[in-house]
Amino acid sequence: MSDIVVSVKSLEKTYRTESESLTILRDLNLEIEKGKKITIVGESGSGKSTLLNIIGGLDSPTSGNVKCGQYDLSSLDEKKLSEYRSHFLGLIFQFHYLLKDFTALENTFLPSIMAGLPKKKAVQKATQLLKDVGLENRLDHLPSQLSGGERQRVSVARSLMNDPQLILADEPTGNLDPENAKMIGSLLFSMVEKYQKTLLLVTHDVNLAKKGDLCYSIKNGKLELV
Amino acid sequence: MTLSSSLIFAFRLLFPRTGKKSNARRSLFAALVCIGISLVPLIMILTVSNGMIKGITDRMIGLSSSHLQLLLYSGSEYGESPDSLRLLSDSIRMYDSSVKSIYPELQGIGLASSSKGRFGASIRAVEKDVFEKNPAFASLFEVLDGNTSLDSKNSCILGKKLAQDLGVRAGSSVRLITTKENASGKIVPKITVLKVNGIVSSGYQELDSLWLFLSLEDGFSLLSSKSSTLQLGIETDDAFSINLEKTYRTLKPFLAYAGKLYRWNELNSAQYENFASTQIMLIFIMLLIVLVASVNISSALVMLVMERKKEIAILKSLGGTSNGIALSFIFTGTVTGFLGLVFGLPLGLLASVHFSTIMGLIEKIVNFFAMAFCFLSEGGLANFVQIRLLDPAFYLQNIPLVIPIPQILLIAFGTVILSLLVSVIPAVRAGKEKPIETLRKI
Repeated sequence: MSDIVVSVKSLEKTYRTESESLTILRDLNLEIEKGKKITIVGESGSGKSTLLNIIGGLDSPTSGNVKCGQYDLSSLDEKKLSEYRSHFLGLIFQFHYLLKDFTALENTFLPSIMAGLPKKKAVQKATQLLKDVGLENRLDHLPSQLSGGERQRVSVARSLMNDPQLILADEPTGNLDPENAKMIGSLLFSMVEKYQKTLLLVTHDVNLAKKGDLCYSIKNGKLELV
Repeated sequence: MTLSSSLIFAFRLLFPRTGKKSNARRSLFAALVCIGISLVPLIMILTVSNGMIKGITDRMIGLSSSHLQLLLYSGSEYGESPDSLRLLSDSIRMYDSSVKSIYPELQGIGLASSSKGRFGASIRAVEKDVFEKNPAFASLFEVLDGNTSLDSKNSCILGKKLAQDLGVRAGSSVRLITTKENASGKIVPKITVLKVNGIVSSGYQELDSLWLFLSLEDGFSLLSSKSSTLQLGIETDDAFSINLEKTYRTLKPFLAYAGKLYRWNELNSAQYENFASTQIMLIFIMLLIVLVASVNISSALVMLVMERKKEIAILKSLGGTSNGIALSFIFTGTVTGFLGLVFGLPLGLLASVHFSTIMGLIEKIVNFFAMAFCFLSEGGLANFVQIRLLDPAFYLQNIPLVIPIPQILLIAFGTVILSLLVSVIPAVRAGKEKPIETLRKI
């Protein structure tokens, strides 16, 4: 059985407006092996987040093929895409994207409830994950009662909730102060290591990018090994 | 996305921990109140009209038509005297045991006259003890003055309206002008002075406004056989029982030689159809109000979807399905309708219980403004005429409270279903939201 978790072939993404068309990604190829931690750096607007969104099934490519595990993203309907995001992926964004009316614990266990895990088991697992990220005393706090770093720690815990094969992190430290950014970066890598996940991380932070097994940069729509 | 996660999200849409003063939430609350308020007149109309129809029906059956009515053929041998009528009554009772009681009656018309003028009267010559023996007479008639005795010769009991028109009280005398055949067969007027023993009211003026009760013996002596009708009011256990039809079918051939037998609903069919169609029309109008109110849920949900785009996008990025998210919003809309029902239903029932008080209050307000308008107009207060919203001439004075539980359950069920239906379009839109478009904007 192949150990390739992500396979991107000849990917192209072009944004078209009435007056012009802008190709962000062209003939992009990427393969990520199971358990690898891949980081991508690049200038703003280089297409890092677009690539992540396409791999995350949130955006669709103009052409090319993206295969993640057993999921061929180009052939997935809406329902299968939801299943893919729910079971295969763990997403972490630059902004925490926590539900404002849900506590840290509820935000963490909700993806599992959505995936069909009984609430009792989901709560147990979420509690453990929040303990792992050092938020055992913040379980019942709303996002508005947490600091920026704490919110991002909840996001990290949430991304691991459904035991996904692949974690996609889109500039997870981009909205934090240097101290918190360093802490979240370390936490993310340690959690991925602990739970043996594959990581694809997009960042501006060169120091964070260096923590990956492989580091790419996007130039002219293509990936180049750094 | 599982049902439980949709319900959890819907619960937080309805009862958020933050942003409680959002416009969408205000709209949702307003929709809830609108549903509740729109249900109040619907339930009032249903309860009050049912009570009114029941009250009027009870009076029509109990005081006028009886369960079954035998109209004797003109010139029938049983119409020769009160005793021959009683003989026929006895034979009917013996023939069918389901017949509980029979009340013979002679009906005709006359002109009642007093110092205040002459007024048409519907003469009902009945057994002297009918006001005591007939349970409907005993319970539904209110004696306003005097008593209900018809024992003495040439005594009468008047309906309230006729007594008011004539300006008489118990103990007064009235002249009754009837027609009678003389020895040569010519119809001649007959004037009889009657003593008013009592004044009664059935509570439904439309029914008793012209009634003048005499004893059966006096009726036979005052009314011409050609201008009067003889009838037997036949009472069974229950006018609404299926057994009434059986009794009718048994008695009809037996009494074919004496007269024509009618069921109570045949005698009053036009009025019942009128009541039913008026009630249906009113309910239909009120249902339209509920329908319009429920549309508010739809617009409130559209606002909620706009407000919660971020949450929808987050849920979708976490694996939420279109159907699961749509279900959350459908549930939110349906629960809003249900809460509106919980708010409106008891309010409607409470308003129904206090219908007379509420109408009286509205009547006072209307009259106050009418009086103020007259006062300010050219003619002054001389032009003011009291406005009666529910004229006792056409409505029951005391409306019995009849809560139509099956119909109210149907309304409750219908309201919830309606709330669900109006939630579908905004909910489906919520499900179709593209997460990437929202997440890019944040």
